[in-house]
Amino acid sequence: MGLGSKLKNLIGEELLDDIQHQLKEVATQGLDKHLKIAVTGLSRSGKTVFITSLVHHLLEAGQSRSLPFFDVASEQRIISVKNLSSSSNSPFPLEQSIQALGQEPPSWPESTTGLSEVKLAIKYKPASRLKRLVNDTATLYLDIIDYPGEWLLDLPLLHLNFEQWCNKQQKLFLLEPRATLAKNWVTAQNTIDWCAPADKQLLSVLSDEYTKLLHLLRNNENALSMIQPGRCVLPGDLASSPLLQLFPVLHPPSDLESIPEGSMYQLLEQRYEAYREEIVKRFYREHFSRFDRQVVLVDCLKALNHGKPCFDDMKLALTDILQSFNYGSSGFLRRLFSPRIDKVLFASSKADHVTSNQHHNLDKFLELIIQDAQREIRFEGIDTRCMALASIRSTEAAEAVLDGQTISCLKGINKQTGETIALFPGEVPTELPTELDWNSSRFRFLDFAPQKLPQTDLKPAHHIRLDQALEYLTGDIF
Amino acid sequence: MSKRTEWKEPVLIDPDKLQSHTDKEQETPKAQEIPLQSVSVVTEDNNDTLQTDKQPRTDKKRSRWTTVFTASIILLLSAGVIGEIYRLINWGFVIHPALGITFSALTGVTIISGLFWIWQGLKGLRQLKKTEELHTQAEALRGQKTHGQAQPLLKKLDAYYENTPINKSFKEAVRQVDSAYNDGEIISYISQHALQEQDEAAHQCVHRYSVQSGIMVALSPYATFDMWLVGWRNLKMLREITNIYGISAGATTQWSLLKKVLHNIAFAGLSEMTIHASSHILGSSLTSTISARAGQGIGAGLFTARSGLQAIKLCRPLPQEPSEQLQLASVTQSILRNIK
Repeated sequence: MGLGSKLKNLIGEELLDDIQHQLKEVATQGLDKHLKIAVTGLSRSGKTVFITSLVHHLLEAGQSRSLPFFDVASEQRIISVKNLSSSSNSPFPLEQSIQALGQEPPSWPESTTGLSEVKLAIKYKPASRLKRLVNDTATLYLDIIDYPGEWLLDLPLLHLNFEQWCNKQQKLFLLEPRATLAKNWVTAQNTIDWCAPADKQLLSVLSDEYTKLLHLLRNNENALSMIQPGRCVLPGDLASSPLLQLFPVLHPPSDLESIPEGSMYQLLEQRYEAYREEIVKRFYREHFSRFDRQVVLVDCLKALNHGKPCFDDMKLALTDILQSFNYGSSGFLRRLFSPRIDKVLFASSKADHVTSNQHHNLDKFLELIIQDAQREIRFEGIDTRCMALASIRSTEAAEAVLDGQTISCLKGINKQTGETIALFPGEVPTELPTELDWNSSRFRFLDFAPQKLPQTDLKPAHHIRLDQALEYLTGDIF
Repeated sequence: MSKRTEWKEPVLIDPDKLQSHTDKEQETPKAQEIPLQSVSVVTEDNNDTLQTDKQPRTDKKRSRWTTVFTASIILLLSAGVIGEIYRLINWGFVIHPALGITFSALTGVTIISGLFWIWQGLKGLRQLKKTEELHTQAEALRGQKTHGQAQPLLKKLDAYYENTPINKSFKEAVRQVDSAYNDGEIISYISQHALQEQDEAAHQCVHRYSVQSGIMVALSPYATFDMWLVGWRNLKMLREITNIYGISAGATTQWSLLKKVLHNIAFAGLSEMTIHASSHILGSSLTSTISARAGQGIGAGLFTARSGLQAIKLCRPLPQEPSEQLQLASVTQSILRNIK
């Protein structure tokens, strides 16, 4: 037995991995400043567009003045920004995304199906004279990871064993509209004897049905967020792996102590454990445990458009996900050895889909969705903030006279029909609307097609509050 | 249908019927919202600030005898001076007409320049008062997430900067204000971008004068002389700062500004006190190693820097960003470096 494997046995593989990783990071982080930003958000909340726009504006920050509230840029202290993504194993498809937004007619970038990484090196002049005395310029390395939002929903599984997960899912499937939509699948499950010897054929059929059910739950009509396990709907490179033939047992046998070897229940439990160990834990350890700052993107308009079930589900999913992150104050040494998130920005994306006088209301509504998560994060003494932003502006502010009253409205291109429309989308409520309101015609937030994002000469009018988000997330580093 | 009053229903509008917003935006962004929400609110605000402005002034009670005394003494002295000048001119004409003409021309020049001087001073005072008023309004709007209330203030600022060199950069900044910004964002955007050059120049001016006065005091041999030096440098600095921010710099303006600056320093906020204390600690460790004179120099330099920064604050109609108030620390460091 070599020394390496002995050590591995002694300390445990995980810890050794961690140490190795950390030593590597310390070596690179020693001199220059490193910052890793977690862009968190459920699927279709605008992560990819956010990253694309952010990186594009940053890369142009040396030349164009599109970030007036980002102090280091507006004071013209940024010398240059370099994209180092190509050194990563899976670089972020920045060029394709920018091209998609820059072509005629512009289109939203494809939604993400795999993991990718952006690495930026920002060279700037330090603000304080004292630092400038030591060194004329400094470099900040910024890492951002893009990944499908579906995978994020696996993170809560880290704290749950199979039994707990089944219990949670059981409660979830009692709620509407899940209960109605899953009726067939639930009845099919009820006929099965879980203690019987495993029938792989049957399990495969049931898991296929489950996957179909998950797709149905998250489609445009139902728009539910709490879809677990996430890889079932978006397997990535794991397609057709037996690990994904997995579903919760809604009515487990009463006596879990005496489950026979090789039974259906045990096989599912084993698959669950393997899924957790090999997929979720690896994903978490490699990409999610080391962050300094976090942005949580929330699509509030989706919740408003789809009503209370969607709102509740989204709230539950976000609260669960955010529990998986490490929060705590992150001092200089801390950041070197075990970074923790010390600033969290909750952002309601698509702020351009409401009129600008509704942004404040959008903030308030966002607070309703994330209030539980925010309370816990604040308890750790972490700085949090809510902000309505739009990574790319797809509408113009306009106004119209209606019944003798001037109202501000939006002008843009409808994503579905491709026509230019003008819309007063309604007011964003600051309180949770009542049952009646959800179903009435109180709001109508349509999806707009993006406006063209030019390759160069960016302007502040190309985004909403992206600069303030950047200032909040990174301003104290410069 | 009772719900109708609470919220407006979403409507699709024919794009052709839209009023063109973009053209207006160039001049005055979000102009459309003024009549809707804010007009009444703002006028109320206005009255409030005016009242609070006036109240402390009426509080000052002067004894009647003081007024009579000053009035009579001014009358007496001016009567004496006028009589004396009349006699002087008369005497000049008696000696030779050319001498008489010279005397009267001199008198005329003195009177005219004096009037101009007074007018300038009064103008500066008025500007300072206006600045203070705008400052309080802007301060109230800072951090607000409302919409449309910054518009009247921007108009007032525009009128305030009319015919000054700042006008151009201000108009430029207003033109760039985004339609999505809320009131607080508009204020901080304008504050950051409209006065960029002025801030830079003013900070450099403060920096220069504080280093100068620090060095002068460190080198001067007499303590009484120090006082004169610091006072002289301070007054000169104030005049320069008022010039930079487009406030006409008469003696009265300078005097009232100096009074306000000293008042503000005396009642400095806690944050500034801590900055001051920390710079003191820095200074004291240095003075023990160098000399007492150098320590005095640092003290004088710091005082000049503080009064300069206060003057900047008073001359700006828009509140500064918090980070800018930390400038004192950086000035302190450069004074230390220069005196070492």
